[in-house]
Amino acid sequence: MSTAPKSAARSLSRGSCVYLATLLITIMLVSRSHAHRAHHTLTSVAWNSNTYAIEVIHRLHIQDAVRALQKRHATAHLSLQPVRNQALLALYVENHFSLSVENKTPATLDMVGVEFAGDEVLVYQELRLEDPPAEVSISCTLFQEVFDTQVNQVNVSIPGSVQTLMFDKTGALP
Amino acid sequence: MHKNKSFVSSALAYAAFVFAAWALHHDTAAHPVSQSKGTFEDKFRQLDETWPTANTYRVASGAPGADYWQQRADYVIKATLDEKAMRLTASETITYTNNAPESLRYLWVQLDQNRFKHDSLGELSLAAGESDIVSYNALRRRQAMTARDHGYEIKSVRAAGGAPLPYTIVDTMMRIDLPRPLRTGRSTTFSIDWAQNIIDEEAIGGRGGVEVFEDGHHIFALAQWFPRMAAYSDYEGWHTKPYLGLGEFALEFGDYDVSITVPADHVVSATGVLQNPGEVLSATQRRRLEAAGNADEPVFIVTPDEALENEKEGTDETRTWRFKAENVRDYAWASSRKFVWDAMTVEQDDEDNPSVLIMSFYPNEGEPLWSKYSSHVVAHTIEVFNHFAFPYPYPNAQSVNVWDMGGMEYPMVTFNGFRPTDEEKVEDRTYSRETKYGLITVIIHEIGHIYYPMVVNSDERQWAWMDEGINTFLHYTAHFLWEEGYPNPSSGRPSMLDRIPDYMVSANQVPIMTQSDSILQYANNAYMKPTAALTILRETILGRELFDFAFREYARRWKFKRPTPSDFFRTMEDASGVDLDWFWRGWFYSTDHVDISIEDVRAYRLSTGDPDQEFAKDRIEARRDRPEPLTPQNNRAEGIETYTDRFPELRDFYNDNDRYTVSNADRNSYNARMAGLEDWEKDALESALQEGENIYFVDFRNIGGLVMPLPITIVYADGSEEEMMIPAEIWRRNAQTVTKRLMRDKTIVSIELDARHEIADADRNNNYFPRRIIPSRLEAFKVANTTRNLMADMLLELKSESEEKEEDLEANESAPLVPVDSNENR
Repeated sequence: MSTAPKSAARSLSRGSCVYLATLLITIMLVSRSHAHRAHHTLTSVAWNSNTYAIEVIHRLHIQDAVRALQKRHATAHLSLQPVRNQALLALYVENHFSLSVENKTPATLDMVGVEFAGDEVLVYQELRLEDPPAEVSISCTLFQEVFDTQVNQVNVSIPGSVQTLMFDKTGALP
Repeated sequence: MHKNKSFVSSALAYAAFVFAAWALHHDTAAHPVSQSKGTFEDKFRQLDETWPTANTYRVASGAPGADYWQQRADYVIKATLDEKAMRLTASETITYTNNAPESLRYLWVQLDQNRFKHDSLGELSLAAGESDIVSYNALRRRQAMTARDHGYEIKSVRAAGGAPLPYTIVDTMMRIDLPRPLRTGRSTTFSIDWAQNIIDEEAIGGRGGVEVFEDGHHIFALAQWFPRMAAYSDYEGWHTKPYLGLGEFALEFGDYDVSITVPADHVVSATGVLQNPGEVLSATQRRRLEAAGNADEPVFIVTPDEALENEKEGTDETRTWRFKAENVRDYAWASSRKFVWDAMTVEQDDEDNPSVLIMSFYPNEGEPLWSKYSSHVVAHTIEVFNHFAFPYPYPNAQSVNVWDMGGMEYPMVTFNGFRPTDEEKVEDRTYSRETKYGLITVIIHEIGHIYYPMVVNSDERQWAWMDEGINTFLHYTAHFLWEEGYPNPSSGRPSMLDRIPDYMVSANQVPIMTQSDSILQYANNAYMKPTAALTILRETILGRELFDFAFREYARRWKFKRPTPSDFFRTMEDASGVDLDWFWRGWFYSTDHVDISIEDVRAYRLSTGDPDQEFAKDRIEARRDRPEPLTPQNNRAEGIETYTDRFPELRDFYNDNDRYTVSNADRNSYNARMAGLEDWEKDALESALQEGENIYFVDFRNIGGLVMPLPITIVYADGSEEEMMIPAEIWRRNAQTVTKRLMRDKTIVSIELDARHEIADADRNNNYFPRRIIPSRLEAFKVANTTRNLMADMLLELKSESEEKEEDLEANESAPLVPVDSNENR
């Protein structure tokens, strides 16, 4: 049995992005699914050369977001309609998604806001920089404490292509 | 040094050549036709070489053939629920009819509950995730799995005469060996006795199980609960792919006679029509049920107050509810003493089922939401799906409230989550927007599944998109017909076609045509992308008339039959009369996305070629396009004379004539050219000149790879606009770059591609000529959002609060773990 904390590092093309898994402790996860709908998030990370900022947009299913906040705050009910609860979601995202530039400590992303779009809630963050980043490290543990079948996908747009990082369980779902 | 570098380069080049040669050889071996020279990719290559060869079972039009056959399985089931033990004991008699042209020596039965055995293939193949965390859910599930055994306890398998039949269990499948081959057209009857512990759905997960309430009562929702005949088809033989958890089911149609024995105070919702209301319902309930048969609004069969009263009493007695269902491919039921029950009726234009009884079953915990919406949403769904498919084919449709966020479909019965929570139910008993629209959405979706795949019986185990994608497309369509702005008028009417590009640009994805258990990003792949594709097909490529006709034809052809993907693709082409192979190839067989750029627009005007007319115009244009430098202008302004001004005798012919001065040689050349034209060519030129046509060459580049039609909006100098749709076939000879020539009598000032957001284009920055600066989604949000400052203040406040309790909050999320030094284990 290995006792080393599990940490994976993968290089993305053009050497511009590196993925680092969160440094937590390993144990076998078992899965549970709510019958019909899979639990996924999709995060887009892109450099905006007009504003000189890394823009981060998280697409979260509203029900999953509600469930995560209910669990985190140990409450049976929580609606995302009040602005205060949208701020709670923003705070949750800040705690479960991090981005580091050039291997430094995770940057403090500016929270831009929260927006509803159909059955999704979009959370916007950005990081203003003086120069385009040469290397980005990302960690994403959104909803993994709620759904053991959670799959988080992060698409990092670099000029000419999109690189995809998956923060997921690779096994089948029950 | 230089020599070494060359060597390395040569070695690399050689390796690349060898690899390319191998890949080419490999490709040639895999496909009967290949592009063995050059890099041309035929995005319009016909799919005949990919699709199975048509035969007399499935013909090339996509319809069932003259010799189409399918098996049949009829069931008589008796089941008894032990509520306290959360256990089911049952026996079934299956009559299996072999309509295949060949004899069968053995039969395969699906044992889906075996997925929940400790050593099932699905359980053992679960992998850990990327992060080293263990959630409380994971701990609870492990405890629930070890507390008692799950899966089927098969007691006996016997032939009709009672003789034991040999059987072999292979994970979630069971082979029964027949004493003699079952010949074509013949039936065999056998019985299975079994028992099973019912899984705690909240702890273990799954598509059925029991929900345990804090008050000690239960809702049982039994799905995949009985040994079911595996499908046997003309294209796959026995469908033996095991149940791993995600891929759903392939099943046969048949009639069911099911007797369910439950505690006497339970109300049962089940597939089929209740046969013995006199034995299980009170006179009042029977009278109300009869009234519901004429009600176009929900009426209570069991009121909320009666359900609450029912929860108080308790009984040791049992009652047996008997149901019969005809021509269904599966069977599910739910049972609880907590159920409120309402019902209403919808009429439809159908001889077999002129009216459909709609019923909803829910605990008081679902109120006031469920009585207000559930049955109405079922009625709405039937109305919409009837338009796109066929009249609802069963006598009733039921919506049953199960655990939070549940959602699963069966013939006539659907299990749907969402209910208000106690905290929500302040004095005015309200509920959140999320809960309301979550409920409406899930009911539309699950009732829709009664059409696809419960009646259009596609193989869910292999192709999730065939039911999930088609159903989500219709459920998305039904949203727009429920109310304007669904589900939130303030959310900017989100479009699936704006949403799906974020997924389709992903580097890590699989085509829609991927087996269900192997799909990455299940929701986006099997639900959302097919929805986007079919929406584009209906609204943009085929138009509603052609699409709706073809889509209905697919449903009509395969109602109560088993279609495969090629049957769908072929029918849509056959009935619409439009070749769509390029569309299926791009959207269903590839991972390309849509990103098309307007690269350049070049403008020309038609010229007479006559130097006496044209040279003067050319001079004017040249002066317009190449203005005089500032230096001579400023020289003149300062009154500076040039040298030749001072010595005019130095000026000659070249000072008086520029390159636009017409010479006799120019005139002779023009006359000679005109003399060489045919009369029709002269007429065409003169006619075009009279119309004053401008000619534009518009260059498009396909960046995403997916070929699509080009909807363009042309803006003219006079302010008018023109919408134009260039068909996708423009890409057929070059799928990377194409140029479209436009001839217009008006002057074009700009062109926009996909102004109506109808082709799911991923990058709008390159959709304009001339280019525009398009604010990113985030920038646009900043401008439009009015609550940012409010939320920023709130965030600051919360951050100062949460600093003190962050550890407590994290403790709510996952179990505390500490690393263990391996030496301690020795």
